Amino acid sequence: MKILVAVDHNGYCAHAVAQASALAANTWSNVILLGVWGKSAAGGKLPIQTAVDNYRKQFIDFFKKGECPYTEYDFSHEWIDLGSGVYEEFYMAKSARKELKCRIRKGPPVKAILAEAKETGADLIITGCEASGGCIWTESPQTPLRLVNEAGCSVMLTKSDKKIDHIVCCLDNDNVTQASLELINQMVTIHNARLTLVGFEDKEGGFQAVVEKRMYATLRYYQSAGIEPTVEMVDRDAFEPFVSERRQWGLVAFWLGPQSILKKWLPKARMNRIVKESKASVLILK
Amino acid sequence: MIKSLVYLNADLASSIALRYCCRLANKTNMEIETIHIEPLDEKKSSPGSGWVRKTWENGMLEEAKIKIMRLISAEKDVCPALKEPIVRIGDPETELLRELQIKDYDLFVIGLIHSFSARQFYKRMKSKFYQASSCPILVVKNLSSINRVAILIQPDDDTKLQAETFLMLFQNAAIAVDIVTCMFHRKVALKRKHLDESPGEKDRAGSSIVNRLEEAGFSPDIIALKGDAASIGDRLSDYPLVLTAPPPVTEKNPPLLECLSRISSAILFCRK
Repeated sequence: MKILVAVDHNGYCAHAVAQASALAANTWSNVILLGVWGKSAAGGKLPIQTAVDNYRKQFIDFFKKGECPYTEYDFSHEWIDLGSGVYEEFYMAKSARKELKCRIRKGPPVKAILAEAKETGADLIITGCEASGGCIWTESPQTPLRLVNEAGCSVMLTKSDKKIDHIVCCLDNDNVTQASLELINQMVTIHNARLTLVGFEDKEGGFQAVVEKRMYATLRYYQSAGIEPTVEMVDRDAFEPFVSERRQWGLVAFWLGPQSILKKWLPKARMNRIVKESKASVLILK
Repeated sequence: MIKSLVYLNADLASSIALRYCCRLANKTNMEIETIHIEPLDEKKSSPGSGWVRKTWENGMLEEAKIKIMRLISAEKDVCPALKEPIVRIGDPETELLRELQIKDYDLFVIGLIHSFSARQFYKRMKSKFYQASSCPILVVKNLSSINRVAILIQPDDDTKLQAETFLMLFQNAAIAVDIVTCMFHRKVALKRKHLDESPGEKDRAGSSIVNRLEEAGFSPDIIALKGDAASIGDRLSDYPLVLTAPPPVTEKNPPLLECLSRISSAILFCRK
C-alpha cells in the first residue's frame, strides 16, 4: 500500500501524521509526506518546508530506535569476496527497507494533492482538518471535503488526537474490495478498537438481500481474522441523526464507490454535512 | 441438561443466533435443537386439496429443510453436531408456542439484527409469542464472548425469577455476574443524555438476589445506573448478555423497553 499524507503548516495535520505513522508501522507501506504551498517564496526556507521537516521527525520518532524501516541504518565495514582469493573491506550502509519521501508542491492544494496521488499511485490519502470550523484547512477551507469528493483513492480525514476505540463501517450496495477490508482490519488491530458494521434497512425492516449477503461475508472475514464486529441496521432517513448521536465513535468509514446507495440517497451537500459535523474521524473507502 | 430450541430462518440474524447458542452450549450443559416454520401464504397456496395439497406442502417442507441445513452446515466449524432441524409449515408464532409446550424446553433462542430504530424490537416484544411463551427467551442481536452477565433489576423488583433463570443456565459455569440496578430518568426532563454509574448498595431487591447467587458460589458485583433509558441501554451493551424480567405491557413504551431496544448484544427474558 502507498500512503500519501497531505499537510499544510497548521497543527491539525499532526493528527494525520500520527495516524499515518501507526498505519505505516503495521503495514510497512511506502509513504509520501506532501506539503502544499500556495504562495511564492520570498527567499530562505519556506514555512511549509519547516513544517514537513517537523512532520518527518514526528513520523520517524513514532518508531523505537533501531526498528524504523524508513531510515538508513547499520553503517559498518564488511569484507566482500571479490573472487580469485581477493577480499576487500567496504564501508556498508544498508538503505531503508521502506520509502519515506518528503515533497512540496506549489499551487492550489486540491490540485497539487490529487496530482501527487495520481503520479505516485497512492492508495490512501490521509490529511488532518480543523474540526471546530467544520473540517477545514485554515488557508484553503474546502480542501478536506474536496479531497473526499474528488480523489480516486480512499481518503482519511483525522479530526483530533482522540483515541480511536470504536470504528463504524457503513456497508451498502457497493462492492467492497479486499484492500479496503484489510485497511479496516489494520485500523482495528492498531487501535485495539471495537468494530461495528452498519447496513441500511429496507422497507420491510430487514436488510436488502444483496446487503445481507455482503454483510454475512464481511462478518465472516473479520471473524476469521479474530475480530468480532457487531452488526447494526439503520433506516436511511435516520442516518444523519444516527451519525450525530454516536459521538463516541473514533472513526466512521463509508464505502462510497460508483454503485454506492449512500451516494444516491444522500445529495452531496448532506453527505458533506455528515462528514463535516461528525465528531469522529472519517474514512472514505473507494 | 438444559433443553434449548433455536429458531432459524435462512438469514444473518439466525446465523448469529446459532453461533451464540453454540458458544453458550460450550459453557453450560445444554443440548440444542433447531426449528424452522415456513409461513403458509394463503394467497399463494395450492388451490387443490387432499393429495395435491399434501404433495405441494411436502415440496415446500423439503425446500425449507435444504435452506436450513445449508445454514447449519455453514456453522459446523463452531457448532457441535446438530440434529436435523424440525421443519413445519404454518403460522410461526402458533407453531412455536405449541412446540415449546409439547416438548417443555428450558430456553428458546432467536436472532434479531440490532437496529437504530426500535420499531422491530417493540413489535416483537408486544407480539403474541413473546407474551405467551412458557419458557425464557434469548434474543441474540450480536455475537460476543460470553464471559459476563448483567442481571438487570429495578428498585422493588421481585428478583427470585432472575436468580432462578440465571442459575438454571449458569449453575456450574465459569462466568462473572453483575447485578445492575437501574433508575430511569426521563430524557425530556434532563434535556440531554445522562448516565451516572456507581457501585450499588444491597437494597431490598439487590440483597435477595446477591445472597442467592453467593449461595450458589458466585461473587456478583452490584452496580447502580441512573440516567435516561437510552444511555443505560448503551452502557448495558458492554455486557455480552443481559438478563431481565420482561418489560410491562400495560404502559406504552416503558423506559425499560427503550433501554432494552438499545442493547446491541443479547437479552435473556425470564418467564414465570
